[in-house]
Amino acid sequence: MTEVPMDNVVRMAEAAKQEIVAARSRQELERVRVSYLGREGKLTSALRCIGQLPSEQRPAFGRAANAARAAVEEAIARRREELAAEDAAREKRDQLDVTLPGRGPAVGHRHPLMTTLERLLDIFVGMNYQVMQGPEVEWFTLNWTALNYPPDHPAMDEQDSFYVTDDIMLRTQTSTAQIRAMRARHDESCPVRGLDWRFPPHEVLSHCRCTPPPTRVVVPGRTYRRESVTLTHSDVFHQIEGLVVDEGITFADLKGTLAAFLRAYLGPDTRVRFRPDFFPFTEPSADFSVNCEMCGGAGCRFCKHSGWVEIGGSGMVHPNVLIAGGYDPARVSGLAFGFGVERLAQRRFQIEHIRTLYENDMRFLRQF
Amino acid sequence: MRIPVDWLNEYVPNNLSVRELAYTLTDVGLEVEAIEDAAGTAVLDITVTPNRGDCLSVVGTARELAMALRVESRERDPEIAESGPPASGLATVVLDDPNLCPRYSARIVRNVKIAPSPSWLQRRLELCGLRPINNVVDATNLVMLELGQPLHAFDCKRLRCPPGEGIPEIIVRRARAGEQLVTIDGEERELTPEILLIADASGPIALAGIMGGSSTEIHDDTAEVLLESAHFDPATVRRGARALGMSTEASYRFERTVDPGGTVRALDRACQLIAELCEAPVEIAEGVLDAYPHPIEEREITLRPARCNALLGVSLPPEEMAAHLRQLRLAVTETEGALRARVPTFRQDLKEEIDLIEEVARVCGYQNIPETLPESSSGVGGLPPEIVLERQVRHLLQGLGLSETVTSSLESVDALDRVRLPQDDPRRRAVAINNWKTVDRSQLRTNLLTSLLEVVAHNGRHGVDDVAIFDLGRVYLMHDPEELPEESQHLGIAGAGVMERGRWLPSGDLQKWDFYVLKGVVENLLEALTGQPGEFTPEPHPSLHPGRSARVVVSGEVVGCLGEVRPEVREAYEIPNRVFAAELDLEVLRKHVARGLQYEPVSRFPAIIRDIALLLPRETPAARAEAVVRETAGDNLESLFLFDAYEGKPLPEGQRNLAFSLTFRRSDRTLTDDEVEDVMERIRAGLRRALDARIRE
Repeated sequence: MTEVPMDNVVRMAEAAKQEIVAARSRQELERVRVSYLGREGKLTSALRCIGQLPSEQRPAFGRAANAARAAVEEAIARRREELAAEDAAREKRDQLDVTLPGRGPAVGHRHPLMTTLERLLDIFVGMNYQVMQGPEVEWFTLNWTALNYPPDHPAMDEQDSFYVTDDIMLRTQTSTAQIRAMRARHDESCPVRGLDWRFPPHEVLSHCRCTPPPTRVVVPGRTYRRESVTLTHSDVFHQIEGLVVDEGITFADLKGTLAAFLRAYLGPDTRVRFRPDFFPFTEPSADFSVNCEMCGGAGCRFCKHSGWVEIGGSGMVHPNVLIAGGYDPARVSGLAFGFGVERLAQRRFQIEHIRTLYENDMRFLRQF
Repeated sequence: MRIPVDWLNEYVPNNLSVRELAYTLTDVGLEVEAIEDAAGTAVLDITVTPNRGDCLSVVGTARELAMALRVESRERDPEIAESGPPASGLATVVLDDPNLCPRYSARIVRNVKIAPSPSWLQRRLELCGLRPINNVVDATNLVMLELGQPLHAFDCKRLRCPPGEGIPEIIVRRARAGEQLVTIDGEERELTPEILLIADASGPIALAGIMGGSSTEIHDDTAEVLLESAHFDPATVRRGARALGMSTEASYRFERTVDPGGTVRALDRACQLIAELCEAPVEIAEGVLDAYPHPIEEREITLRPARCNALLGVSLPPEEMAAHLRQLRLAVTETEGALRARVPTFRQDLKEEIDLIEEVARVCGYQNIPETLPESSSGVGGLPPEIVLERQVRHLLQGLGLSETVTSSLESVDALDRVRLPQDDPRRRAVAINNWKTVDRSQLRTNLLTSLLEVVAHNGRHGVDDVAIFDLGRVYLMHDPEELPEESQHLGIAGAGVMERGRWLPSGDLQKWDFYVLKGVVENLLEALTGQPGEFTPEPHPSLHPGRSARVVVSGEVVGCLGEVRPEVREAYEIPNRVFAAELDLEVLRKHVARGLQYEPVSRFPAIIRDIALLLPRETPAARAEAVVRETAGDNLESLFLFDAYEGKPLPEGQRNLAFSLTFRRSDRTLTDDEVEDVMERIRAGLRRALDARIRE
């Protein structure tokens, strides 16, 4: 009985050392440590027996037990170091080259023309405009007659056109939507809503049986010109048309509206210039330009050394056009404007040739 | 129009630099496009808007410059000395239709001696882009440049007299079908009745307002000249010039309206010049042959100052408006609440009050009108639902790895052949352009596949074989040539090559475009938009690989198709690699876009998961098996997915193994194993019965 606790302690320490060496991980090692040296551990419990021993045996047992305990602790510490070294080696082995490229679907890219268009429309929505669309293949009467182009007028020569039949053509300008936008504002029951597009435009107002509410729209869309397709010319391009019809709309409102829009798009320091121009469907008419942001107005090849870049055309809606839309020019007035989207996109991203926008080279698209 | 600055300055002396001069003109609406330096003077290249025919001259431009500088332009009246017999005894003029030619004035000059004109005159013409001919012709051209009135000089002796008459008769009439005329450029012109003519007893001698004929032109031996100075109807000249495919200095001006009141002044100025240019004294026949049956009066227009201020957004006093209009040579009288303005005949573009309001604004200066914003109108702004949907689609597809393209809607007539659409296919009803410029852009597209394949081909030609694109664009179908075509917004998707990034990975590991990648893109899109991935059923398509094409159905409605592009179609576009493409009709899709979704609480109870594997004939669609599982499973089946589809060894030939994972769960309580086993047994029985499936354990 006297020898038993001592032998027991020594055996226990040997078994512990074997278990320690066999432990494959720090968690396993910790389990071994707890099972021997924890508060309820085997070695701890054995040491607790010292009180039951006769007093003369106690010092020897104590020494032996402490030596066993120390040996186990040392073995644990050694094993812990070994495991740490193994972990470090494994972590080194498992290290990834984080500079290798990632995988998975490559994100797509947005076309710069369409992001430009979205931005422009968002500005107008913020200025309380409704966005509307109209057909690209349009009645001759809507592209010309209702917009106050006299028959056989040279103003039509400025927009060489594609014809489908004598009566149907590809619209040369989104301005055609002015008439559609105005007529759509009439009451459901008003005859103007249902008028055939071939109906003489100057007689429309006399058929109106309602008081149409104000109109405030922008119309984005494709337009067409019969031009040779080159680096710098396209037969199809995008425009945005704006139209406000209400009581008391002024030429000053036209200037302020375009200036506010251009400053929102190009920046608050943008300078805007208006100059007389001629469009049959507006009067007074004005083209509008902004200071060239490439050279700051000093003159460069982008602005043909003028310091200004022309953006589009505008004016007060001609009374005949209001009449064609079923609005009474004695009651309301209107402002209208239109401009090309390609040019703004080209300037924004410094894309020199319009053709680049329509080629859709992936090497181009990936840049956006 | 080209105008030498030294000539302009003769009318409006000024101290402006050429650049300042250009800005000044541009600011009043005469846009100076370019400034050219010539020896001794600069030449302005001015774009004149089509309403301002009166500015197609030095005098007209000078009037605008004078207005801008608030001075008077110095115009001199021509002085001539008439001598010899009255002109009325030398020729007569007959107007067939005064609507087409309201005025025809002519003078006759005798004893002229044809010679080259002096160098100052030649130089002026050349600076303006005209070629000097001889003193008489050059004099008429100089007057045209100076005053804007095109003139024509006939050799009087070469004009034919009517039978029995001793003097020639100038007739202005429409051409008769079959008539011909050799013009001074040597071209023989076939004439049609829409062309207005000058004729003599022998027939046509000039195209009215366009070009003279060679038989009566000025020769070296010409001694007697009949100078024509007419006012032709602008639209008539334009129709005639277009019918002949001609545009001349004269027709350009007549189309844009020439001053009907200025014909005689131009004649006098030409006579004065000819007299100066000929060595020996010339004889200017007394009087003018002036056929002007219904003189065009100066218009009177009323301008209401209040209306003008209201429209411009300014508050100009009426007397300032009157002063502005007087700057433009309008005679203005101020009455109670209105201004009465008499418009000189050279301003035929001023017809009504709005025209005067524009002139007030122009003289006032656009830069002097304030900038204001319209009073807020009742409505609020917003995007229409179709644009909202397009934006969603763009963002989703970009996230799914596709790039957006913008393609032309005009395409070649053979585009539809290249995608093998049969002649009777409804997508053959293309909108054809009747005056196309090049045949490769002569009709509007009827589908987006042709546009997408062009993009894939373009990239292939530039060494880019990996393409993942989408295009939102309209397609056009002509149903009835009396009505507008149908335009609908489509979504096209195309993919080719590798679709995954990470090219350093073993190439076999990289995802390449195939049918199921494409289908996955479409399913993801549909699920995000409509809440369901759509249904796909086999459907042949002329452009797509048979057996690898499907139509896409959402809530029972066909929204489009997808599949692998046929090799023959790829060959037509010279695309070597396989291409996968889809086309959806966005307007149909928009009807199924999820709106007003309601949240369903998720179950708090545990799920039981079971797998089932079945052996089926290869032809049985997986969707059919899935449908049978769903039908027989009942409410306790929460979801299922296919996790294996295998054919080949060791399975029997023509058989395929499909394996589904089924998740069972209720929202009100925990399911028991026995309950689920009952359901599984029902499913197995259903599969055996409906599909003759062998269930694999």
